[in-house]
Amino acid sequence: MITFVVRRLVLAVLVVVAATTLAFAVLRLAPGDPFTATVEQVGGSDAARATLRARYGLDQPIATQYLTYLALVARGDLGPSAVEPRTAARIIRDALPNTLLLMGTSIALAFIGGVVIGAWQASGAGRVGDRLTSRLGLVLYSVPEFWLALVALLIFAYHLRWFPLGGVASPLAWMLPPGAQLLDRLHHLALPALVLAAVNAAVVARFQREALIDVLPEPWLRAARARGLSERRTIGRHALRAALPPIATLFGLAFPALLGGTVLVERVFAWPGMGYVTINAIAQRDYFVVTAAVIVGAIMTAVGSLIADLLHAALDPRVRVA
Amino acid sequence: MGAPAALLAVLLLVALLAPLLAPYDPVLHIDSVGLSHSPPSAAHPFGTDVYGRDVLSRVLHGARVSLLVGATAALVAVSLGTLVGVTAGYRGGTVDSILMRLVDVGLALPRLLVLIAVLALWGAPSVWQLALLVGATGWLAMSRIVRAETRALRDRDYISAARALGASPARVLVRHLGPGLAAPLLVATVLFTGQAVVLEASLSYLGLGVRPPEASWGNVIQEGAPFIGTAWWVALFPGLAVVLAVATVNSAGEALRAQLSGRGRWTPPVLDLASPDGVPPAGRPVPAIPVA
Repeated sequence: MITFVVRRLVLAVLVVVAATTLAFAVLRLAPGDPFTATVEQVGGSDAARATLRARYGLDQPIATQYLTYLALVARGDLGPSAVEPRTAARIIRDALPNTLLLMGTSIALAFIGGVVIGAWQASGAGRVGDRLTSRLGLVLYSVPEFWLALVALLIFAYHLRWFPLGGVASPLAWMLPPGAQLLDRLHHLALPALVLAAVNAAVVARFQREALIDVLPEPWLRAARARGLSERRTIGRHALRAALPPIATLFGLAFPALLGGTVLVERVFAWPGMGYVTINAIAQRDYFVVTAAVIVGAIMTAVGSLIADLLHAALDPRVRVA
Repeated sequence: MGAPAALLAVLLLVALLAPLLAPYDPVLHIDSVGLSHSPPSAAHPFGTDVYGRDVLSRVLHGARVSLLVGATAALVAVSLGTLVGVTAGYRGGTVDSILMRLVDVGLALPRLLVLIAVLALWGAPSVWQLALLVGATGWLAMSRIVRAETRALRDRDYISAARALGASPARVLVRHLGPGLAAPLLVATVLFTGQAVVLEASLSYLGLGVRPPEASWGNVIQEGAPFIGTAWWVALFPGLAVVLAVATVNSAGEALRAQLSGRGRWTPPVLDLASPDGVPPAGRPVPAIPVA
């Protein structure tokens, strides 16, 4: 078990380093730099641009820049932003909690909802309810998340006015008492989180349904029924326990895709998270901020798959022995 | 097979015949003042967009671009994935370890973010370049599946027999391994097409994919998104087209999988597009994970 965790950690570190290097290389190889557009806008000279490049060390050879940057990161400094006064670390710190809140909520909703729905479907596999919801699930997981977000915005924000149009909080929310502030945040969170959760719950439910149907013919389940356990208890306790490990694996695998989906949904709901920061920073070629975002993204993915492995081990004793 | 395959055929036919079926020129500003954002009507069943272009015509023409990108990307991903997967699975050893560690690293990077970065930094490409890029980021999962299948087949008796009879590696691969791989490859190509259509829509929605005025489902949604509260029809209909197409492709893939595995020529499907070994945990068949 310990060797297993250590091996995973080593792989995780390798992935983070590789992602950093890749981001660094891709950014420096791409045409343009953070200053060309702004300098041109104000009619600045090439000399002005050269001065700016020198200030951020961009006049150095790429290898030198890379080593300098690694040394910086090793000290816990993610570098300056090339376009705004905040440091890259500060920009990430402002955006990351918003993304974690949105992702965390939708992952929790998606997995709990998906497992429950999948279990319900499997317990009556082939019934009308199962067939209908399975169909619906197939359609739902074919829906692009950003488009579902737009439709949700149209129906629940524009027409029914149940939810706000976007953002993480109302503009004057800081004037409210703490309790009302919390409610305001939840009110803003609900729609984007539900959209992300719905699409992913469809995937989880499908996965869970198949995993359960696979274990249902097992003799130890017949034994449980023979002992007089209710169908609900047989499935809820015994079958589900055996069918949960694949869901833990799914969690780790779905993480990068979830990160991608969150980026798009953040854009629809003007949610100031990592997706917003990353897309802006790429467009402005804000080298340090993009690289910092990639590092954070890679760490999140690595942590996600590590959690999945640990969950898997917790749910499936065979993994612990092996 | 029936219904999804028929629907898929209809979709392809619509895409092929778009110029004949579309009531208007998709890029023509029919009346950019009088017809800007006019709601669905008999003359314009899907309404018009901000420039007074017919949305139905744009969705029909968009089908060609979106499905073309989807299918091309899937073919590229499957071809590259097969190449790497067969190499790793058949050779084994160091080659296998190195290739699979590289795939590990690649799979840890969110595909959408990689595409966003490349497209935003190098600028909007042509439709073909877009298709190649989407395909080039999709082969990692495929190589896993192919590797697992190849390893499973490699040690079968009939392969050993062929080798013992002196068949060259090339012959073993093409004549003996090929047919065994055909079924999972076919199914994966179908499912990858659905993923690629969604990816194209996502990238075009961000303004990084197919360049306007050429219509794709994604960029029609992009043009409608700012007006979703007032002119909902512009973003709604192309999105419905995406859902219809992807759901059809996914159902067709599932049906194909069920049929091919039922025939007994191919042991129960290995189709977990993102699982570490391409094989679902404990050999369970699992659905493909949509790549958002």
